[in-house]
Amino acid sequence: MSTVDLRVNIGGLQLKNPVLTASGTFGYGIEFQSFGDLNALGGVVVKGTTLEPRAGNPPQRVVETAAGMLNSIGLENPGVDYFLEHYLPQLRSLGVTTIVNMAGNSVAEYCELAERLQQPGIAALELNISCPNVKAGGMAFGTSEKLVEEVVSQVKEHSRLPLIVKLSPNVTDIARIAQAAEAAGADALSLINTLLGMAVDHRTRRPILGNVVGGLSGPAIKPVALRMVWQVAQAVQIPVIGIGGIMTAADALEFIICGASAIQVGAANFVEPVAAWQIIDGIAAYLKENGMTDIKQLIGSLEI
Amino acid sequence: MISSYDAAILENQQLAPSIWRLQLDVAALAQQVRPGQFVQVRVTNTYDPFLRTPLSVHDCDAKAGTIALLYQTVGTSTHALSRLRPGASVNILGPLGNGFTLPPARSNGNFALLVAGGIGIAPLLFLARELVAKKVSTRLLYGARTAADLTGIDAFEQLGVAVACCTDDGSQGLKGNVVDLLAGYLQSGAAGDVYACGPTPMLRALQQLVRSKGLAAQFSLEAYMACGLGACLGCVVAVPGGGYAHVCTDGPVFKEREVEL
Ligand SMILES: Cc1cc2nc3c(=O)[nH]c(=O)nc-3n(C[C@H](O)[C@H](O)[C@H](O)COP(=O)(O)OP(=O)(O)OC[C@H]3O[C@@H](n4cnc5c(N)ncnc54)[C@H](O)[C@@H]3O)c2cc1C
Ligand SMILES: Cc1cc2nc3c(=O)[nH]c(=O)nc-3n(C[C@H](O)[C@H](O)[C@H](O)COP(=O)(O)O)c2cc1C
Ligand code: FES
Repeated sequence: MSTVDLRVNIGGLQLKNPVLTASGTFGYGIEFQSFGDLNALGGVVVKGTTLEPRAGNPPQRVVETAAGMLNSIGLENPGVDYFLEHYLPQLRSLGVTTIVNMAGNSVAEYCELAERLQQPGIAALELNISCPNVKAGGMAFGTSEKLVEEVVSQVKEHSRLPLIVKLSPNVTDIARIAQAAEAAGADALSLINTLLGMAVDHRTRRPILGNVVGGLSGPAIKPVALRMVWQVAQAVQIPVIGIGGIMTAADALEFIICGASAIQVGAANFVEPVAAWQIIDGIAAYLKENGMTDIKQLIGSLEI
Repeated sequence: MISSYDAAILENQQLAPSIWRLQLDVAALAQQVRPGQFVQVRVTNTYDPFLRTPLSVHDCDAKAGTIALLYQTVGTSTHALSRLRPGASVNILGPLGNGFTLPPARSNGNFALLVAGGIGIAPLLFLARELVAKKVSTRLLYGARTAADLTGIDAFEQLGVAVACCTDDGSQGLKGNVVDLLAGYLQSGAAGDVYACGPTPMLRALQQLVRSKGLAAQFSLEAYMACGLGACLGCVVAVPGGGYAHVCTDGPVFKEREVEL
């Protein structure tokens, strides 16, 4: 594999390969240490982190659906202080390219969080303005161009790290939201977060999730994600990270061909914990088979 | 260490109308798994079913390098599992979870009361085997819907475990539920450490009973799981004082007073 160059630059974030693990699906990376070398991954995006610890939503929090799953975790996390004290030192000593996914209820909260995260060992920040599972903030920010501009430009002022803005698919025109984030100074975009969904038990006539609604992920959302990545990649100049239903190297390649400079592996980690590593190998093998020497030759190579 | 194993199926046998026993050749796992731990089974390589299926380790033979799973066919995954035949293999992740806390070896005077409701019998055979090996006097109280649903009693009796049964319809043993069966047994002044697995309403009633009798108890819980690895944070159970514990990593076995059922 030494003959292919998998390195990509995502708005100042240098990655050894384009395969990241998606927030909320790979814990803090540590949970998957026995399945592979975390350092071999492009990077790990850790669980959505808030200023204060959060207990999350009442159970039931996950349920399988056709070719996918719904979740309503509700951003359970131990808070930024615990992350910095407990997880960051471990990730740093392992040499993991660590990206912190940030969630907040207000612009001020996002800014404070960004400031607290200007730490050695953190490679980039991912601004989660697309979580469908919390009442205040979250997705509300990501569905209005005006709010996207405000939160992105403010956070940029409080951060030196590359800023990836994670977009919600639960909007009418994702390209316009993407352009708003770019105009406000985003260094890169990642998409998609989960699609808002619901599951009901017809026997009990009750919702299955404790939170009633939740976010859909897995292979079921891949066509939607692919379409959105393609539209957004055409609408902006900054790099795009593709997310949504990526299970295999073939899935990842499709996103890259549609214009993604990198990808994130999400729910696939639950089904096949070595998925991310397999995808890296599969991408390299594909490039070789197709006589390519550099992943950049493939990015956005869709022929219509 | 948690690993991924392609385990060859040695046997997949129907024991009752909806209960099956799957025997797997997986030496590296058999040598490290403890009673109460579970595995995540990838039943098919398709996207339907999508998630893995969590199943407790029902029995284990470290020397032979095999484990057994006991499962009830309730939906897509478990039905698909029942169609797999010897010769095929399934991918499993394990060992997962904490497992039961066993008393120290040869602690004379220790009595173990195993309490099973329905398929909750699954993790208790492996537990009974280890308790008996530690010379702990062990008794099983086992409730199911009908006589046909009571499975694998022989295996407990072969270990020298005393078995008392009950059924909802009275077709075998006492007519009633297993918590009543235990309450009756305790009336004679008997005591012991309780190890239980079964539906949540049963465990809730059992929690009240053991509290009123001042008995120590460990419950093996279920929660809907995605990863089984502590990553998705999906599998929560409420804990006293607010907040949640994660069944896949903090459990699946909890001390009775650690959880709000
Ligand atoms: C730690 C643990 C150990 C278990 N051990 C056993 C065992 O030894 N034997 C046994 O028969 N069953 C066991 N179960 C339950 C078993 O996992 C479910 O019955 C099985 O997943 C049902 O899948 P299905 O597709 O056949 O049914 P479905 O139609 O999907 O669901 C049937 C029922 O199972 C529950 N369920 C479905 N998927 C999951 C999941 N991923 N996690 C948890 N619950 C789920 C659903 O809430 C529903 O009530 C265990 C569960 C856990 C969490
Ligand atoms: C259980 C679970 C938890 C998630 N938590 C977060 C989170 O904390 N922050 C976030 O930005 N996205 C979160 N996501 C969304 C994923 O990062 C990803 O965008 C989405 O699942 C789509 O990708 P997939 O289809 O590959 O899973 C979560 C997804 C799942 C399934
Ligand atoms: S099942 Fe994913 S954290 Fe427990």
